[in-house]
Amino acid sequence: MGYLDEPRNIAKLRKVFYLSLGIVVLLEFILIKREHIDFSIEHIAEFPAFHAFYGFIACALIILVSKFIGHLFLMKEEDYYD
Amino acid sequence: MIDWIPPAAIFILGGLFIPLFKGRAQKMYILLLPAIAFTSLLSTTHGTNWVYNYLGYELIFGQVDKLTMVFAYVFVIMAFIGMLYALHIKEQGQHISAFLYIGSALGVVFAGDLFSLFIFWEIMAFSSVFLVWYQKDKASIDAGFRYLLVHTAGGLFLLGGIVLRVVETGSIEFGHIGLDGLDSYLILIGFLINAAVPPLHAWLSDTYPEATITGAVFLTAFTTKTAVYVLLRSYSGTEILVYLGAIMALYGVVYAVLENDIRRLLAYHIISQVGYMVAGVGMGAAIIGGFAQMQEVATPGQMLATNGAAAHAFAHILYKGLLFMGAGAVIYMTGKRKLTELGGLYKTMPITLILYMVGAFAISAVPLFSGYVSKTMVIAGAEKSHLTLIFLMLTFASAGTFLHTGLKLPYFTFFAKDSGIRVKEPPLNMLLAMGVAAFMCILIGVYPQMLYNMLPYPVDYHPFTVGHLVGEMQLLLFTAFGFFLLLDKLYGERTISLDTDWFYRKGSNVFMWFINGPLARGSQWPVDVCMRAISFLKWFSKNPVLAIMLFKDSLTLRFFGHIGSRTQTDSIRYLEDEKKHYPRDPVKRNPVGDSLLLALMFMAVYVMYYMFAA
Repeated sequence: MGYLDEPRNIAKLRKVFYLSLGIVVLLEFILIKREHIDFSIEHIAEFPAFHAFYGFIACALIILVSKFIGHLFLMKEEDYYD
Repeated sequence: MIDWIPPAAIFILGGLFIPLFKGRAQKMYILLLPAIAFTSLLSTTHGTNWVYNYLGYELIFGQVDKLTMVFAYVFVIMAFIGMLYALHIKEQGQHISAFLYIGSALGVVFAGDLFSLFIFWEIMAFSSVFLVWYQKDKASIDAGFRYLLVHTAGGLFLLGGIVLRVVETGSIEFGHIGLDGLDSYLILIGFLINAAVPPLHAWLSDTYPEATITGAVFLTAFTTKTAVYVLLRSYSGTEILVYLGAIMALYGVVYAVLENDIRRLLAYHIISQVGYMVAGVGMGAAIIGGFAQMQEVATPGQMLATNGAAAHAFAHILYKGLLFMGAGAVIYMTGKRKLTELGGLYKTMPITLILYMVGAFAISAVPLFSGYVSKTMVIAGAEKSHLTLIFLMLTFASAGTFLHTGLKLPYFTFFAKDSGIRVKEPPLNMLLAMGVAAFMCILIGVYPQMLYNMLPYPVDYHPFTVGHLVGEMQLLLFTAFGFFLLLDKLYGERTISLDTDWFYRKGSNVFMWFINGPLARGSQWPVDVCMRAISFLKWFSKNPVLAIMLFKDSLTLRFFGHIGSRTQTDSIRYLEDEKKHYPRDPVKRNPVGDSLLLALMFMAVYVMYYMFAA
């Protein structure tokens, strides 16, 4: 039996993971003081929680768009070239 | 006074002596060579060394500055790690070709002229293909030939460009080239093929997964990074490279989603990572003169980009080697290479998992691992030069890198479903090699100053600011969040993905059809015509008079229905009889006739010629 065969352990890990998501966003608001927020595209990296949003959106887009294109025409049977 | 030996010579000449040693002595020897090369590097003098006159041109085998040394050090370190990983291999040929390959890559890095650069460039292609062929199955032999064809084509582009350039400038010096004129475009294409820039990249993802387990580790390190080096040297500041690099970074990420083969997934991430370096090359300043003078003219953003490209190449070679070693260890022990066939290996291969994860964290730019201190330099370079689109594209690709290399691959290989495979850890030398690479990844990540001090420009960049750290952790953790939400979309599928190699893999069928069909038939036709003409003339010359009479008679038969006073049936029989007995006896029957006829024919031709032409 491995550690991850136990559902209880997985639930525990999941809680830690969600907690860390919250902490890392909170940290930004605690540690980084901004006098004003510049809403021009040039300073997009300085938007509050920009990296959190961007990471999530990038991840979702990469998976969905790639799989879409893949199933559209890129993915072929394994013996395609034989 | 020259008191160091070019490391290229140590590897190329040293490699040839491998067969003289047996057993343990041989193992010692192949580990000793990189060590000797390393000590040689320590005593290297900057400037122009090892110059030879050849046909009135100066061949330079030791052009050295800080940029050279960054690549030289990491090449030699990686050579040691790769050799340690391959120590259990009994085939000497594999070791020799690896040494030739590494030596020629170093030769390119130290080359100060275009001729010796080209020669080493070609040795690199022809020695590395054996690291593929030693896998000895049909897939690898085919892939090896395709690899060779692509690199030969690339080499020809390079050669064409070099020849044009030498004719134009009269100098074979290798320095800044930049984009002007046909020669510079041809050289750039040659370089871009080796850097695997789409659409010229398919050789990489096609070949590397088919290479031997140990050979692939070498392949990941040298070809593309040598290309990055020559691009840095001669095409820094070329704007198109910024966009090509950013597209490259995304391109590899898109394909990695679709991949089921673990080493092919990693191969697509080489393309993605080299994209950062190519973008960094484009964002830098053209390197004219030494770096000391360059400091005065280059902007901070440009210096950051050039430094970033060099630093990322350094870090990349080590973590990518580590990732390929980890994937190789899994394939070596299980004999399986597809995500759909693997799973649950964490129970029996925990050390491999941990070492692999160090590489995965490094490539994903997790703080305190090497990628974090190098990749963010390139991204910061884009930010500092106000290239917001490039910044966004590169950050996007960063998320994708963690998604595949840090999450998808290890999840489906080591966790997910239990595949029932129970294998042990790989041999000790493999684990040790991975350990050394992992140590380097962490060392650079924790103490980046060591790497920064080697870079061509002085570094004014601080990776461990609160802003950088928090931003990076957000990016990574929320990528992971997306991964777990969309997990059921990510299971490996038993497919392969079409890429630009389709054009030559399927295109070759069209080519072969053309060769076997129209071209073969077309070339046979004139042969047939001539053969028939010959046999006719042979037949005709046996008795020209009778032959002409036969023509006359058969024409008469066709138009009048009979010959002379004979009936139709008699005429036909007569003609057949004459044909059967042809040529009878020409001389007896008409001794003068033949020569007279020939003389008449000649005169007729002459008259025609006289009337119409003269």
